[in-house]
Amino acid sequence: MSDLLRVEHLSKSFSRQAVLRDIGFALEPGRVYGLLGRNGEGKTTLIRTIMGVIPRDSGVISFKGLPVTFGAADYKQEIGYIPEDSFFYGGLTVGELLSFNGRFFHKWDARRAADDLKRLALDPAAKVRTLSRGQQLKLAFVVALAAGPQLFVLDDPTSGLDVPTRREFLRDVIRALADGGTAVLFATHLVHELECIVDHLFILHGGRIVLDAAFEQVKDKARRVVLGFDGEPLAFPDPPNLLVRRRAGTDVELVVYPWSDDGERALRSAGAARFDVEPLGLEDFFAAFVCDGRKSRE
Amino acid sequence: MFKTLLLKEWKDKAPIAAFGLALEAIFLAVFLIFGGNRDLRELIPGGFLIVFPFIGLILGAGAFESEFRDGAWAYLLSRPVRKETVWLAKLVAPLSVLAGLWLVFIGLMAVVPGLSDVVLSFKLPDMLESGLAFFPLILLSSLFFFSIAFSFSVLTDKQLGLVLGCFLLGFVLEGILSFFAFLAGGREMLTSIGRFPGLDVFGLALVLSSLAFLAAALVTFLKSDFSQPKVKAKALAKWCFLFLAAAWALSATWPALRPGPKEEFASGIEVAGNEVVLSTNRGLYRYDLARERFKRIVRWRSEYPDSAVGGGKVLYVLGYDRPEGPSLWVADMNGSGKKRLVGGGGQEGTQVLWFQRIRLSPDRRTAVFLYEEVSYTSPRGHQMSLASIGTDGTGFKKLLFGPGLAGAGEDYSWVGILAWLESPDSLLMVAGIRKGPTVRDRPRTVLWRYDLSSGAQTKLIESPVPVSFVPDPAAKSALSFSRRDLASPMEVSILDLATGTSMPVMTVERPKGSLSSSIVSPVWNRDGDKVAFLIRHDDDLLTPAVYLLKERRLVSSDDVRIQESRESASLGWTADGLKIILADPSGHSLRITGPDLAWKRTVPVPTSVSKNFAACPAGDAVLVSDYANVAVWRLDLKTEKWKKIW
Repeated sequence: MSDLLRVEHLSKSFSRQAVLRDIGFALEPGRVYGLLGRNGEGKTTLIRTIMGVIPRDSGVISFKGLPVTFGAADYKQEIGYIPEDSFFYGGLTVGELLSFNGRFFHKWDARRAADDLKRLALDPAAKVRTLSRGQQLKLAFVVALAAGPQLFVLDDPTSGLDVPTRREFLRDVIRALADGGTAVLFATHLVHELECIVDHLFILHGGRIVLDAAFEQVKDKARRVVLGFDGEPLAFPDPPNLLVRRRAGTDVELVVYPWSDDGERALRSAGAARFDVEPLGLEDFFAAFVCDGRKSRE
Repeated sequence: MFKTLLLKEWKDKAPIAAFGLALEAIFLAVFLIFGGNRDLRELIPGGFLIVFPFIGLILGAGAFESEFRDGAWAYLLSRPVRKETVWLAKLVAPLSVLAGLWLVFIGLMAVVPGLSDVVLSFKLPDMLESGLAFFPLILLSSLFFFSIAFSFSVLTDKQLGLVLGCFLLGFVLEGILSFFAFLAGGREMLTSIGRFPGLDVFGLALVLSSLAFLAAALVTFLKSDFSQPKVKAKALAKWCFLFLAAAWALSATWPALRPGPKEEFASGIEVAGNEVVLSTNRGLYRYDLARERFKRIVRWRSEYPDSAVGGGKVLYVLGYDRPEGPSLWVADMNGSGKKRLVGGGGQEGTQVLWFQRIRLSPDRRTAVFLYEEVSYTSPRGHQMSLASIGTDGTGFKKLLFGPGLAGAGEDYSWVGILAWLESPDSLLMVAGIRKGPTVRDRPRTVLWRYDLSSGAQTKLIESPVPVSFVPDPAAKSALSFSRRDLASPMEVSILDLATGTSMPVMTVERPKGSLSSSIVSPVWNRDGDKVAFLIRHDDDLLTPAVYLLKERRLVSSDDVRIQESRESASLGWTADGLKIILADPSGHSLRITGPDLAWKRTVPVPTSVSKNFAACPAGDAVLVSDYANVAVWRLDLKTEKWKKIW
């Protein structure tokens, strides 16, 4: 399948401090991409760069095979974008805002926008600045979806939504969009939200994409291993692809990705009394990648 | 999309527009109520007009206010619309509001009786900038202040600080620009909108500076990262600096680039010795008769240029438009070897105001001239002097003239250098000397010879009435004509310049008009033995006459009658001295005749030549200067074919 969006060698720095370094990835239609990273790792910068909101230092961004410049506008017709912060002109009413947006997008679906407003109980006559954070996010979804995007970009928006609404959007809206052929790039630090919808994972750390893998592969190959010793743990060499090594009493806990037969053989020969292997949840996996520090020692 | 953005911006600016309109309504009410009070009547418009730059500041400062206030930068920039379009809508909306407020105000000026007179005649008090017309200054200033505030509005939403800061910046920049304009305008103060020479520079600098700020805002908006205020501020500062430098450089070069007045003839085609020259308000051209080509040998900008040509050299005056004043120059006739002789701010504390009657000696080694000098140091005042200087720039000498000619209580009404006499060191000078200060005190005329080497001055003629003298090319004789008063007959005679003796030529019983309009276009042939002139018999009837010196005979012809209306007829001799060419504007033709006025031929001038033309014989041709169309035509006397050569 051809790429909808391709990013190559993208770099961006602020005041000579590199935030994004040689970033490269591609998005295909009909898939949900999770962009994970700690706060301040550059998720928002990456998304704003893709959206042409801020300039990039170097690199190429292509949409549907065509490179897009910083000033380009047409490709944004195909992108629904929801940023993390307050977003709209507060002086407009909800109805005026929809009308204002409708004039920018060729595929604007006014009926869908009206239906969504009704479904989300948003008053068209209400001033945007009087809406709560959650209501503003709902409005942002209405605006983004009414444009009929081929790429839906969400920059960590769901933290302001109540749980039922968040679940509805994640399970119904986003999944439905992807099933309808829309690519979704979902940046979040609420990692657990992604597990039910994500197809592919990117982890941004230290300004680089340190993981670019299908979520199925992550689930299959990420393992927590606990070696239990009767006394002081014996010394043993690190297995291949070790992410984290941590001692808890007489136990040694390891996180390995990708898990392999060679790794299992090496650890089973470490002389441990107990040997437990279990799949790793996404949150733990992400923490192992970026939060706990890789290969931390006893 | 532009329209959508524009509508949204207009909606945002509606409160400011309403505020401006309310102020205009208040102003109108105050004017209608207090318009009768003379003091208030003059102060009201001045006080009110200052509002416009402030409205400009407020409109400009608020250009990106909603993006800052609502955090809508990302929203705005992620819409599928080009940034240039966004910027243009941001600019056009407030600018159109400002223009609209101006239009409403101008509309009020048009319909409210007396308002426009008061507003347009309002000037700043003398203590500030005496007489500077306020209305256009405020008009430009409102644009200028708007542009500054607009450009800085991409940096912050702190409206109050922005307005105050931009007001101060604009005030300082206007001061700097007016100082530059003062320098560019010849260091003359801002005295009036019409007379201040640097006003166009000042206005241009304001407009270009406004554009520079707008351009800096555009580039910053297009290229910079909105999320990085410091980076954005640095970028804006950089672009402002670059664009302002370019704007100011362009403004500074404007005095050299500005198109001058349309090229017009100063004197038309003239023959001086062997040279055919054309003097215009832009320079002196030499005409090559063989190649039929004009070449500009001297460039100047002057409505009344002064030059003297002869013997391969040209003497000319430059720089009446320069702060240091005019200067006298000499050059070769091919335009090379230009050299400033005198003037142009040479001596500390003095300045030449004008040069007159510049003359080259027959050997071309000396230039003489009259000039007026003003001294700013003690003793202060103006002084008219006669001076000579070598054409190599050495030997400047002030010359005393006419000692003993003017008596007690008398003053020189005018002084002229008629010619160099045979000796290169002798001048033939003429002066009108008036006893009293009023025009009713008719000056007496004194003609005298001034030996420059010895300083001896020999009176040749003294007449109690004004006399006109036209010397021949060798300055041996002069045609003179005078009359006692306007009702008296005019006496025309030939004066022997060596002896001062006079030989009567004729008496015009009922001359019309002044001396120069009664005897029209007197002109000697090259050998100096014949002089032709036109006699005015009536307001618009002229007949030619020729005086033959060797035969002491006057030939006149009533058969050749020229009906002259507004335009002037003129005469000229061909180089061989055998033909006289009369330019006849009323007949739109050239009359060609001999010295005996017996043989006659009429050659129509081309229909495209205006009636305001003069003819100048040169070689085998006649060159016709068409003053109205600024054109020169050449008539080949052998083939009688016309050709436009300028």
